[in-house]
Amino acid sequence: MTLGTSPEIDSAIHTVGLSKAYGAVRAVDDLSMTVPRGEIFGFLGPNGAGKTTSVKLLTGLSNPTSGKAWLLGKPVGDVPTRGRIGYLPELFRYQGWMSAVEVLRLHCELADVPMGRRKTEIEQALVLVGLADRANDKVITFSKGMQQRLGLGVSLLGKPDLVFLDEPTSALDPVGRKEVRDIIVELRSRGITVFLNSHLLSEVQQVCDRVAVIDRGRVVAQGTMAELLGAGEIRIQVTDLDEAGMQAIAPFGQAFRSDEWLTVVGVAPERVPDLIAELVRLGARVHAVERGRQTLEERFIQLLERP
Amino acid sequence: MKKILLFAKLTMREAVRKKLIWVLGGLTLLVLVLSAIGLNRLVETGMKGQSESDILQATSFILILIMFAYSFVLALSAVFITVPSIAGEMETGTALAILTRPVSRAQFLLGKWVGLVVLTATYVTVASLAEFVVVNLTTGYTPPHPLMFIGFMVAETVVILSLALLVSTRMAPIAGGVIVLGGFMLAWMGGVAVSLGRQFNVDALITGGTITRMLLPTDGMWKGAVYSLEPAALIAMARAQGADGIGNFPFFSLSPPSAAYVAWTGAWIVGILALAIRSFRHREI
Repeated sequence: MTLGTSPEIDSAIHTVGLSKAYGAVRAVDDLSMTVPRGEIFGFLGPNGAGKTTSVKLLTGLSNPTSGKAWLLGKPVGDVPTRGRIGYLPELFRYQGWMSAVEVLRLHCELADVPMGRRKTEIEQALVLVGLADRANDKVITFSKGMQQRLGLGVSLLGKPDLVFLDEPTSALDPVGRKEVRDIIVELRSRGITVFLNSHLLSEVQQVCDRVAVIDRGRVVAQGTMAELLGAGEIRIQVTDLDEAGMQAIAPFGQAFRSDEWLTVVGVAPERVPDLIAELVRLGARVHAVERGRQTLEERFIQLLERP
Repeated sequence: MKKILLFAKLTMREAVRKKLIWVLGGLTLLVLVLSAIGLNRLVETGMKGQSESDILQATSFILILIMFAYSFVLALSAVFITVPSIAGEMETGTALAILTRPVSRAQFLLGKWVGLVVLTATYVTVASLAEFVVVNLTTGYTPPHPLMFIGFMVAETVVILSLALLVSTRMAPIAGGVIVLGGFMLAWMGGVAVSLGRQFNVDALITGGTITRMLLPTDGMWKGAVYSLEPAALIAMARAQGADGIGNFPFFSLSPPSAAYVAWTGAWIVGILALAIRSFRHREI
């Protein structure tokens, strides 16, 4: 007998046709996606696209109207699996009457962190999110940004395998945002899967391995960052290239011309020097070569353009 | 069970930290002092020279009135502590980070319930015993069944608290609070309706009142509490006067609630808790 593998079991997150309707409004519509383990997954979409509803469906706070979802190989809602998941909600609020340490201690108990590990985990979390000097202060005295930092610390207790971060930098200043980005990248280096829900496209572009773009409850694009942003597109400023020359470079990829600029789509990175050599051999004069990579923002706006 | 106790402890700690207990304690102390002064004046001056049975009657009636005020404050406090405990945490978002942990919603809800029951039972016991001591020191009177009184008062509070918890799983704090308090007042009116119905032989009043008392057994428990404060001589005197209906007014009861009614109240609490768990399980957050 051989052990079969399936995306339900192997992926950090796998959904099939996940939908959520509120009356006639379909907040999430037929969401099917796979998030491999150990990656940073960016979940993007405009306001009201269904991002937070999707996260609530995945964390079991809300029940789907139809469809299925698995987290870490177990169906959503499996109680023991929740011990391996961290969650920083978009609406982050912690008990104002408690100190930061007390909130963390409570979540250690809730997450079944073994007694012997609690003290170290709490200290590490406080240092990581930069709240070590405010550990014993009441949460009610914290700024919004500090509460969000505390929430991040809470979500990382119990060494989770999967962390949902819903707009984790919404209340932070630019320095705080950079710190959170660094934390996210560090989580990946520890093998933790991060599901990052964010509006900040530059942030997502900097850290994510893979993204899904959702609009009006539906996924409009998903893939690796390279796939989404058209990797392999190259722009060359070239003169003295005739029609025969254009045809000669066709094997490298789809070529378009606009004045002196030649755009070739689908060129593998290792073949770029060959393409340039071929152009020179054909007698063309090459003035400049650049990667024609879209920013995530350009791609995002393009994807959401409505007819 | 561990998680239920964790939520119970959390609920109690919150009440203590938010100084709610201290405010309630302060108010109770004020009532104790005022009732001590009032009763002392009554015995020393107001009723000086009157027969012992008259003093006994007056004292027991005043004690019932004081305890009625307690029961009212207790019901109000139970509602205003309980209703925000679920609805409020959902509104603010505190519940989001908690309910995604490896805990069931039933554990969360039952934990809150246990915490609130322990809190109110402690308050009822301490406040009632303190009032009994004050009454005894000032007038020499001790009610006949102090422990039974505490039991019925706790039961009344648990009834209202359980209903508040159920409402809290679905409604916003203020709306929920108004509904539960409205119900509490209706049940009280139901008790009055039964008494009036008996006195004037109006079946409709008796039936309506009885239904209300079944739907929300707060007033039934209050009648049990009142009964436990009445000296046997007083009940005998009322019976001798042929009082049946009038004897069942809010501040007097000729008999304790039947065992069947007490059992119904227990089943009612269990049923309401089961409904609350069911409702909370299906609640979209």
